Amino acid sequence: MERLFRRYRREDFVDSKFSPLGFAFPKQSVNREKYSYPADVLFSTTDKFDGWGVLYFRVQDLPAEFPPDNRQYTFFPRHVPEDEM
Amino acid sequence: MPITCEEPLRQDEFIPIESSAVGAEAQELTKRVKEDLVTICESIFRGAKLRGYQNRWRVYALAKLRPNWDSYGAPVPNGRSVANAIRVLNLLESLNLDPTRILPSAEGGVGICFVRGDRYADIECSNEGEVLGVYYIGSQTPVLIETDATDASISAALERIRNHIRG
Repeated sequence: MERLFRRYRREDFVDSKFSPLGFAFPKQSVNREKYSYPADVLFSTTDKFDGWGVLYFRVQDLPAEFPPDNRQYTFFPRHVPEDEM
Repeated sequence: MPITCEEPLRQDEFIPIESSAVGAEAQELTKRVKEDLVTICESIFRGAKLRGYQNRWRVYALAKLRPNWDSYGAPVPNGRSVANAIRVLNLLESLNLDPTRILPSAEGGVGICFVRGDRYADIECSNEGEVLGVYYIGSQTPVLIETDATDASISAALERIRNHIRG
């Protein structure tokens, strides 16, 4: 049930919907709930993420393959921690 | 389906501010611009033209983003994606379909979004020269629309998007 967090720009929300254009494949970086709070993805000593938001999705909601009828992408989470900035 | 965890804290959109700092001429100019805007807004044809110019301006502005604009390493839209996005906007004019928003793509390129209620669609012009569409309703599985980047196939994709958005 672990959640994965990612920050987003206000512009990426179009009429209350997150646009998939704001999401990159492959290798989209996210923060794990096990090691962080949602607001942690907005942490910046220079407030550079002021005005940004946080979205989450659950690990089990990741589709294994997409699209289901014409498989072009496979999905899996990989834990690759980065050094502190 | 991504879910918003925290709403953005403030609006960053440009808000025009009136100023009389440069005298009566500026006030007169402001008045004339306002009158012109009212004229444009009252005309469906001129309003559509104005939105078309604004959309093109938006596309060109995206090319001036800084690298890593999304803080996750996103590249800046290049000339190829900008040229294709302008072509998409030109083709849109004959379909009488206004984009809801024009966004940079996190994968590199320009995306033109359409939203109506719980219906979403976009057409993405990538930095590699591809033009791809997608549409879905709510949390349904998205439908991909592939094109060969010719005007004919882009127009066909836009027609599918229009039909989807209008239900």
